[in-house]
Amino acid sequence: MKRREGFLSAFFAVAFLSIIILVLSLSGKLKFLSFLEKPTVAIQGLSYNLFQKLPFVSESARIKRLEDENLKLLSRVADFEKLKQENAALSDQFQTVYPRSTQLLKADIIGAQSFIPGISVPNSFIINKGLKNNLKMGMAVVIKENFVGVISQISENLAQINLINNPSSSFTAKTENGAVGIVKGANTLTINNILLSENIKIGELVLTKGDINNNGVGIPPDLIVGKITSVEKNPSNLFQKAKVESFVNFMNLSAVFVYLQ
Amino acid sequence: MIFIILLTLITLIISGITTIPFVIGLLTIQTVLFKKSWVFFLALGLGLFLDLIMIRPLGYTSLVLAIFVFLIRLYERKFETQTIAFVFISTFLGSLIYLMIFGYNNVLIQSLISAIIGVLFFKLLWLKLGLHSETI
Repeated sequence: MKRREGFLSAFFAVAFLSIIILVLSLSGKLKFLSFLEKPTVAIQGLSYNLFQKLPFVSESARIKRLEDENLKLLSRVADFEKLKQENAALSDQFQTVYPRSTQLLKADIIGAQSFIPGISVPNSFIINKGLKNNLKMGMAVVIKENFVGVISQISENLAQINLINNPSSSFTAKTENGAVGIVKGANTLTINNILLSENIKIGELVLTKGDINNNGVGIPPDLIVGKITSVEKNPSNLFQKAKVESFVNFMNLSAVFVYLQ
Repeated sequence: MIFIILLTLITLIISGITTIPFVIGLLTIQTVLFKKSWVFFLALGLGLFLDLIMIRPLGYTSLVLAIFVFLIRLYERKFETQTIAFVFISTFLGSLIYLMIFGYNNVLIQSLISAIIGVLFFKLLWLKLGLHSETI
């Protein structure tokens, strides 16, 4: 009985503490704790970078041998490669005519939860920019002129992006020929609710229709969502739908660009 | 103890990259093996860490994990908890509810993997701690 009382009091103490923290957090009074995000970001970044190398696991024995030989050189090359990648990403993005580079903010991906890391495609990213960098909920995220997703959660130093393949993702889009529909994320992207009278073809590009609110926050028009890979048209249905394939390889991304306004 | 701390650290690192809720398995194992009140505080700490990395309101995951540990402790009197069957079922159900609350995909398969890994670590810890195997 004594032991039972012991665990009950511990449970009530922890539950009470959790509720207090939750209430304070929801009311925005725990912003001063944002400094805690830095060490957690470091841990998350470490695990993300580690598992980014997973596709090469099958070659691990050979790579391990080579790694031993090149350990000293690798540490130097790693720094150089990081700079090179960053430079290439910035250069690529700045060469893109639309969206204009002045409207964009570069953010590094520090976390990407997926079912099996390195194998299954993630449906959300954590980036190293947050409220401090003037990011807002609902801002669009791009890579070149491709639509990547939307900011769904935000804290002082971090933000979560719901990718277009996320089951909760839904936005209006149009085909090259102007057929309007709703793109929904799931394991495969689909564009639904296209009128039967519209003519859609395999290989046609799907673009965002644009959904920006009064504050200038939202999804800009004419960003590339992907291309149509199959069309499902049934005369007995009200609408037709099509499968869409994004041009972005979400597993290999290391940085993205947030569309500010 | 070092093994348990190491296991907790690995769980924390893995939590950032996979949606499989290893934290549920970890808490189940520690609750059934040690039957101590500090597991509630561990649930609080783990929950706060997960809230920070997943940008959820602080305290949300802690509350869910604390209730989960509480439910396991409640069943101590009705069932023999230090068994593979109990660890499997409680980890599976706990993971299922956790994944559904936080809106993840493939909840059944992820819960199953979480439960299997939970059982493996339970067995490993059981042997490591040198406990009797009759109840398993």
